[in-house]
Amino acid sequence: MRRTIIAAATVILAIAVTATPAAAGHGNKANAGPPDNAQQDVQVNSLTSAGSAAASFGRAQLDRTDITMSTGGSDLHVYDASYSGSWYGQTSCTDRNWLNGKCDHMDIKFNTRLMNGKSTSYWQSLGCHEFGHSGGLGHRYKSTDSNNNSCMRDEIWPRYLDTHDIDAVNAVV
Amino acid sequence: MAGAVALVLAGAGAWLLWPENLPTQWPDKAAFCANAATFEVSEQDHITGEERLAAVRAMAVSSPEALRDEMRVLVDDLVPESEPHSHVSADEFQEVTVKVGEFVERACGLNLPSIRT
Repeated sequence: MRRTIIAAATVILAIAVTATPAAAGHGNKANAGPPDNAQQDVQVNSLTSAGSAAASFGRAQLDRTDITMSTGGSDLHVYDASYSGSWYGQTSCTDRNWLNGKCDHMDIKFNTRLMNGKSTSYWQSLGCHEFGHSGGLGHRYKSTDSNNNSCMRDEIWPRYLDTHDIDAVNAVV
Repeated sequence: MAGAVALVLAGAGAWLLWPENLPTQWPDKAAFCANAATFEVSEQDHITGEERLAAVRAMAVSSPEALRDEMRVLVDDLVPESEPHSHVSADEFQEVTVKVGEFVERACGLNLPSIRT
């Protein structure tokens, strides 16, 4: 299933729970806002081994930016479970500053139902993608990632943030 | 009867929670609230940084006099680094955004993210 569908499902679910999906554009327009500081605590919550691999890999990718990742419960909470939605992963801002749009708390969720049977490489790509959202990144498309090397891409599953992604995160934190 | 009692209690609660030094009515309230609407929950995904800055600047000039210091803190948070501005601590910034946010929700009847009134 395409990541565009995932994005649409994410928005619908986020509206349903009155939380905002953390999908920010690479340009000037922030759709959900970047994190509110450059020190991000990560708390994982009884993850499967695949989910744990995704979280570790995603965290390491975001650590390549100016954001310093640490362990703790004050910023990012990571979950995995069999969710009914048509999305592989989801990042939602649960506490956003009304003035500047920056996000204090986010939930990252991996959908084991749709990821079932996928290799570690796919899980790592998913981790990179969702943690990228938590850094304020939005989706990228073939037109803006012609060398197919960003995990923020739709449709394909690269495992790494590329230099454009890293620059975009660093510009907002 | 129960409805009337609930209405009275709600009114009393609102009166008790309203900051003593802030007005419920002031001359530029319409302009203040119109610009504050930029920050409503439903608008957050659609507004740019420039639009945020323009709206909060407009709110600052139309806010009640008693809220001017707080509005200055909010404007300074959004101005580009290249422009002169002051910094406050993260705790103070949080306190100010909650104070102004709660005032906006009560005075203008708006719903802002992460503000509970």
